[in-house]
Amino acid sequence: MQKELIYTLYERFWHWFQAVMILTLLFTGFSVHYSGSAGVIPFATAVRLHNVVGWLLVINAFLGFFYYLTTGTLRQLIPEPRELHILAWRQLRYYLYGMFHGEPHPLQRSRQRRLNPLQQITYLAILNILLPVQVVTGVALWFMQYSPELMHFVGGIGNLAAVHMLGAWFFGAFVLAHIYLATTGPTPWAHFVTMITGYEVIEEPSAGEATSVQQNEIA
Amino acid sequence: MGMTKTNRVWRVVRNTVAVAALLFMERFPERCILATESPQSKAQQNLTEVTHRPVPLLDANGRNVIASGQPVSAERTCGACHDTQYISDHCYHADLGIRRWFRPGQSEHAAHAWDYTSGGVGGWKPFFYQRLSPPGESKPDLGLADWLRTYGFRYVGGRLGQFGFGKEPLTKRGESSQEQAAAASDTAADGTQVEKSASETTASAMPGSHSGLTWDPDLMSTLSGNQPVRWDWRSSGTLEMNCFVCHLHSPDNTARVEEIKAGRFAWAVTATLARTGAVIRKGTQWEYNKQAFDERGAVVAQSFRIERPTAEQCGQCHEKVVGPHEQLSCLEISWSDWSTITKGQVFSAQRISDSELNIAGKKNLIRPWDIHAASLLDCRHCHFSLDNPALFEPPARGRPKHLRFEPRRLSFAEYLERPSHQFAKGDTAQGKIAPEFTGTMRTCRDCHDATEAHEWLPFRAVHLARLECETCHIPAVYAPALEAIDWSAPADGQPFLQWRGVTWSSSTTVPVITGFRPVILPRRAMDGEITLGPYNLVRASYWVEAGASPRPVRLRDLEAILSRLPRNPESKSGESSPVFSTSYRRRLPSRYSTTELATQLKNVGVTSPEHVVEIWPFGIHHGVAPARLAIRQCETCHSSRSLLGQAFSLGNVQDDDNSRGARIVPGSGIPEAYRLEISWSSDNPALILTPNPEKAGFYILGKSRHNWVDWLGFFAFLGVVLTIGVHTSFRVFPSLSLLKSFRRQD
Repeated sequence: MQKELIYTLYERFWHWFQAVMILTLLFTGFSVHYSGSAGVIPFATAVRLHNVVGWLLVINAFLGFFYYLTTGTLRQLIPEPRELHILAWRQLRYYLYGMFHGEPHPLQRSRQRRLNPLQQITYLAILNILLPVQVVTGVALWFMQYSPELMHFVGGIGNLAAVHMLGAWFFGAFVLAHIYLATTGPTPWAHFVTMITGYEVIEEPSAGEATSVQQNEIA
Repeated sequence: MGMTKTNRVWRVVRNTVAVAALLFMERFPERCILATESPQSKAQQNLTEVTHRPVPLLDANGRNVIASGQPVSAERTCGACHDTQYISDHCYHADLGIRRWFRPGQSEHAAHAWDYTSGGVGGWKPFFYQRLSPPGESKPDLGLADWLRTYGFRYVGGRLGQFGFGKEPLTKRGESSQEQAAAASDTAADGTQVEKSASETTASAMPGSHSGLTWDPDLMSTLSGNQPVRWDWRSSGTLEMNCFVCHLHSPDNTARVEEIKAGRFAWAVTATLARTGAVIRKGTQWEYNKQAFDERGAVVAQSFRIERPTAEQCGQCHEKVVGPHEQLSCLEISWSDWSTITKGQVFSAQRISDSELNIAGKKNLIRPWDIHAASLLDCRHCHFSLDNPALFEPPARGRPKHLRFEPRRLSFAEYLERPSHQFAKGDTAQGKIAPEFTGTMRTCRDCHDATEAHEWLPFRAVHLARLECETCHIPAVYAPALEAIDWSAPADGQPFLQWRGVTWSSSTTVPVITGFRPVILPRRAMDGEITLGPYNLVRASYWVEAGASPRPVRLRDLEAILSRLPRNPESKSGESSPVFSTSYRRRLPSRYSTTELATQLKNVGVTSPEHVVEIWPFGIHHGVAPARLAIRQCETCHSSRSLLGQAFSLGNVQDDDNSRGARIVPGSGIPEAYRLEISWSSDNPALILTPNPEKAGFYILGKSRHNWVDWLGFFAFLGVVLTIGVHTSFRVFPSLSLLKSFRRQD
């Protein structure tokens, strides 16, 4: 058994900061949408907090993008087209069958390869579709306070709000799935610990597992 | 002795400070106490306004009334210095739209098929039920003299009262033959000949119809019996524009109205002077008090004070106005208090808590009835004469965008000679008269810079673009207003009324005035923008005689059938109490079914009677609260219990009336896409309007929902939760079985 640094300090900070921002946005957004319901914060507070946190998230996202671009880590998000479907199927099979029967994880994580193919596809969709949609609609809703005429171009606040709200629901579903899948490590807390300390305990692979890992690395 | 060094320094400092102070005062005079004027001194200044010079009272022939004993003619009296002809010709209060009347049903902008002007006299409102029937109409309702006697209490006189539908003075038309007059009056304002249908030219055998002659409203009267008779204008005189009712300090409007109701139109102006001491009533006659006149025949009585119209004068026809020296001990509401009866508006500087009215929570209402009244503003400050050189502003329409100031305006001398009496008017749901002047008045934002006063308001531009100021600044109305008016089965010629903002208790005769929160509705303004503003809604029910020329069933026809039916035992006349009184009936359950009344109407010759239910919106613009009481809580609008979706009662209805088909009266500006959603309760049948601003394109965060979005998102979220649940169970149970196998191995 050995410990390997998977996430640098900045990467961990970026992740947890983003997590807090997203959860705050979901809660404040929920408070705005269901204003007056039990358990929500006052509307004015929710709107102000939502706006501030929204901008922080956008800034953090851009800083993260800059970091991942300059360090080359961005490459990890891009799935390898070659045998993608095979690797994705292996990962899916692991989630649906292998992990219930004590099979090893098809991907041995390392600093150079943190994401499995399913994660790569999911994050690619979130970072290229869901996040931009949320940012654009959110900024447009925010910008209307300075230019109400914008409403005429987008057909009213209602259209923007509908897209933003649907995106929020999907983000909420993603966050839930993300947290759950984080419990699918060697122990339920292993991935959380890794995201806090940055280190992951890597077991020496057995002969059979080593073959599987080698295949993954080849892929 | 020379100055010491200390003294020289002191002098330099003192002079520098003095010069700096002078420069400061010149640069910022508004910040210097010496340069400002206290509100009290302004009020005193108003009281000492330059008074009008003594006026010789002249009759219609230009002779002094002391010599002739004839009625005072305001046109001749005031015409000595002012161009009264010009004033009368430029005053929509005087012509009430009659100058441009059209054949009923010929205007697509008319609210009803029987309307023949844009407002005033021909734009029918159920509140003034009886119609001045236009020329050529079969089964006429009221002639001009009848209309003046019935509704002249809110008419200042002038073009309509002197010329009617025609172009000749009524007194001269009476001299010519009736046929000629009838022919003349069959020409509409645009010069087109009014066509007469066969039904209109054929004598009708129905009660109240005339036979043989074409109906000429200018010359005929129906009030005296079933058959129209000629009205003698030479005997009654005409109703000329009454300058004194608005410009006299204390006009006797009651005496004026009495003369009008009695058909002594010529004496209406004279009666207006009753409180000045210049005239004295002797029975039904008026005599002049020579003591009040000087040797030139000019009135010198102190009480004869000519002045600019104040809110009190406007209030005689428009709204309940309570002056600074009056005590509001009883809210007597009549149709003269138009804006009070329809919107619950009271224009007064007094605190609500100071009144003697039985208002719920009154002790906490330490605020004036209207903040603008408390700020010493009068109606004329916003509804100014459009030629007033001090207040004139060129309309935005057709004005070059680069033109910030229009220096061309009348001199004061020119204005005093020919002051236009076309007053600036707003763009409201209810004001249809003189549409060419719509939107000319001074609005809230012409005086107040909303962006400066709302720095605290999040998303300020959106709020200011989508809300009328009144939406937040008139959070509640503290006087009763109409909820419903029902002409389906009138009693003693009066409709049944339902009121909102007041509750009658069976245990006490004193009602409690609760006030009401206006309903917030979207409305498309003349600039095309849809904004949310406060309204009172009044449900109006009445019968229409359908057919080729639809029109409301005449009151006399309704009374004819009701006289044959047993009197409704539950109806009682009037509502009166120490704090709220009106001579009009409150709605009580009628025992006449709509079906029964329709059958009875057919029996008296009303063709295809239809029961119509309309919703009349009245925009609320007066009764503005101090800023500290304006709506500031976001949740008031932005929550599931939003004020913008507040249900609004439209009164109790009968099971079999046409309330399910109620519609907002056309032309009010409420968007057509905005449909009424009416709840129907069978236990206590009542119409409830639930505003739905989303139908008009509004999306209010915290209130509005896209249900499909919420459901789709919820199911996506639920799908994830269920998937996690299933996956977790598969993870947990195989682990348990593995654990057992390990234990067995041990």
